[in-house]
Amino acid sequence: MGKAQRAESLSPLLRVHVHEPGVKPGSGWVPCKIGEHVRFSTEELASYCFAEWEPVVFDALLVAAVVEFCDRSQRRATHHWVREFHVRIPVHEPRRWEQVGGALHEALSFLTGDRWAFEFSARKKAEPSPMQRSFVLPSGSRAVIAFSEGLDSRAVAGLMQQSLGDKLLRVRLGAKATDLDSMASYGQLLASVPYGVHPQASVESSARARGFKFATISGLSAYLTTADRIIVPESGQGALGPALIPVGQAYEDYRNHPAFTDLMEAYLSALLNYQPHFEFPRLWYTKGETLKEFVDTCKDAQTWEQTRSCWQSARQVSVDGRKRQCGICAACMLRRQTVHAAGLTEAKETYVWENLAAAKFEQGAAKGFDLYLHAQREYAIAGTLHLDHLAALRSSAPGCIAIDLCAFQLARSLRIPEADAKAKLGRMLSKHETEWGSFVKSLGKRSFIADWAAHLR
Amino acid sequence: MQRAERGNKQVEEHYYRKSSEARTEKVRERLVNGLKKVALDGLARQHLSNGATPQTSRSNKQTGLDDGVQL
Repeated sequence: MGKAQRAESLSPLLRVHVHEPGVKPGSGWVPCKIGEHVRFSTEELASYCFAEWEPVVFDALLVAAVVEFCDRSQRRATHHWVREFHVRIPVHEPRRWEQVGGALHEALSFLTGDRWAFEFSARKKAEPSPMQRSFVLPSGSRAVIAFSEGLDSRAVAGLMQQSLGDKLLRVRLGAKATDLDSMASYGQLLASVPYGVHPQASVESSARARGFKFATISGLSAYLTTADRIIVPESGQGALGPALIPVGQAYEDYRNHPAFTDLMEAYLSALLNYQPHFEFPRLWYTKGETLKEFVDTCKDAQTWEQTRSCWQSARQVSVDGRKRQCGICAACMLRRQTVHAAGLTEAKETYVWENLAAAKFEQGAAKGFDLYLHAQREYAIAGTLHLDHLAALRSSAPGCIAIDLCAFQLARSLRIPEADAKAKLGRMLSKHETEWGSFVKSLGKRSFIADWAAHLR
Repeated sequence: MQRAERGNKQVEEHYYRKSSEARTEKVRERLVNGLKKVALDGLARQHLSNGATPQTSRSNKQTGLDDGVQL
């Protein structure tokens, strides 16, 4: 058996036939019925046709939805990351999509670490145009920014608004009601994710395809408003950390990485004949530096306290019936480091784990909270180690190789000299190291976090 | 080396989950030292056949019409 065949045999294969209602799926293919496994919200979809209904926009959204369907439907093998997907999908203009296939494959393969193959066919029936809705959009938008309830999103939107004013359009990427509330106060809601994905069984949680969904929504929003800039609000640790610190057999996480958005630019450009450009204004800064600048220079800076970084649900992180943030997952740990680095404080009731200075993990939780302690401890270990390994990266031989590789990728993606990319990356990592060290030190030597932060011993 | 480092991180995380901090520290130290001692350069050179494999013997030059494989 050749190497290629061997590799193929290790990769689980999923064949998905996307079909319209009334069309029979092929034998031996997993059916993905439009309207059942992928359901579009007519109201949300209408926000994508405020100018003129373009079927290609619907097709691009359908492709993003189907990618998510595949990603969630096939489990990864324990010791082998790669999966293989064959997808049959009906679109309005198959010839157009055949020409885009290469760029689509490159973006998806790089992002997910899987192998993708698409067969495009003509739709039996065109998707009807959703009812048009009146949208009051600022004219002449120059840039769109993904807007969520996250800290980076709020801070970078505020910072960018200083120079762009109403030429900056916020695009909601969340699907939760709280997002709508926060967007309403800005009066600039453009679009949200207009579909839901409902696979027969959701068996894989690595969710790398989420990056494709968010980049597609941002790209389409930019296209529809003729904005040529797409602002990615992620700061350095969030954008580059997951690609710099992979663990075990896991493939590098490029969800917010310029190397991935570079490939998305090629895909969107080939599909829409439109050249959007993804920008990372805070790539070379830590999240702490971003928050500090926001607080120092923006009028609505106090809103940072209302942001959420934790991804855990109310069921997992409620205390006395009130939802908090867990305070110990990787996202929360980075947030707490960030707030400390910016010289700010938060009420201890912000988090379930009120006290990180506690000697034992269990002692740090709010009084009476005893749910999911085992799982929460594992999140806490993973979160602490991620930030600690990132801080230690510059001082190990394998870490230096990872930094060199990352600088090479960034130089190519951002079209800057490699030495420049390496210097800026090194500065950001050095700053992270200082911030992390200072944060852990502030917790005291007896803290359970200090026990796990081996880099600082 | 990077692949080995990934594995080390996984083992470290596993020990924190399942064992004590002191034991994790010992294991991490041994893994780091082990990785430093691995002759990865030689291994890579061998894989790339950079002078580590024997030279292949030269083929005899055939000149005549009847110089084929012996039957």
